[in-house]
Amino acid sequence: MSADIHSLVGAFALDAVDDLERAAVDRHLRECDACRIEVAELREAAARLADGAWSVPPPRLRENVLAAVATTRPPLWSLRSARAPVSSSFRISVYAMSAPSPRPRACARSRSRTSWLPRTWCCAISR
Amino acid sequence: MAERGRSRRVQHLTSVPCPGPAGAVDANDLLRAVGRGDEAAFARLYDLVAPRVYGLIRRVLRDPAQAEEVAQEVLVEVWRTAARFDPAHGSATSWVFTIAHRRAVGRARSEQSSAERTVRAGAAAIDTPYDEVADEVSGRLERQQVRRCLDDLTELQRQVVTLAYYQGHSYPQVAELLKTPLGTVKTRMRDGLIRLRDCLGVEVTA
Repeated sequence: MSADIHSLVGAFALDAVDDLERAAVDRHLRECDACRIEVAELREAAARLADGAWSVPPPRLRENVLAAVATTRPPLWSLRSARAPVSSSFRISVYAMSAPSPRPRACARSRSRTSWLPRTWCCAISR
Repeated sequence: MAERGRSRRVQHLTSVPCPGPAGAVDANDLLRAVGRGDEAAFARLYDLVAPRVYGLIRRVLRDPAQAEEVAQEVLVEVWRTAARFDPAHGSATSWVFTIAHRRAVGRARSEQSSAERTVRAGAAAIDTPYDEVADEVSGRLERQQVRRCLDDLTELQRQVVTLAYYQGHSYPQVAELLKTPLGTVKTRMRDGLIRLRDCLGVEVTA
């Protein structure tokens, strides 16, 4: 079974497997350090194929992405708190409550930067 | 003097890309900074990876408008999830292109006309593994290296790898297109990537 699953690592690295197979390979990788390294290397090699697909995007893509990013808060704090011990979550929630903005330097041009705050706040507190 | 200082600050705040030397930009450092919420670093990372993100998605989806939409989703996802990037498990560019590829493949497979697309794109791909998209920018070292390493594969290895990666086909679809047994396709995908890895000098330490 395991050998069978391992034979899928190439297809897995190329995203050429279905959802069930991907889950099976993921499980297999959790149990096998050497396999994890092999897959990481195959993924790295596969990703280099993107170099061969270079195509200049329309300039509006940059404008649209940067505009979206300016109004999208990375769920950075909730991610960190998910991995961090309780004391860090507490510090994060205190920080979220007390700071007018978590990124003071970037806030000069921000109008709605704090709109994400209550959600993060709840998230941090709920952990 | 004060004027120069002010204009530099304004430039930072409006996220105009830094025109620094391209070779000096390290994608790993940029992505880590993005993970800390650094918008200026994100703008620089965008300039570094967007042509490959967009090009890859366009290659898989074969539709510029859809590719633009998916590329935007992917790049915003990079911003949202950058804190998850761990350089111990691979490079920043690999992390970004893995997200882009998976998203493009997911979109391609969810298309209603996927059966038609498979036949159409597959037939075209076997005849012309490099389409016009790849020729829009020429002379890049990385591209030349990738092309050289792809040429280094056996014909079947090259076909299975490019049909899966550039066309977004699953291994059973590739087997069907090439009239080759499933087991052979799986094996050639794996040993093709191993050969590519060795040719490109890819290493992951952890």
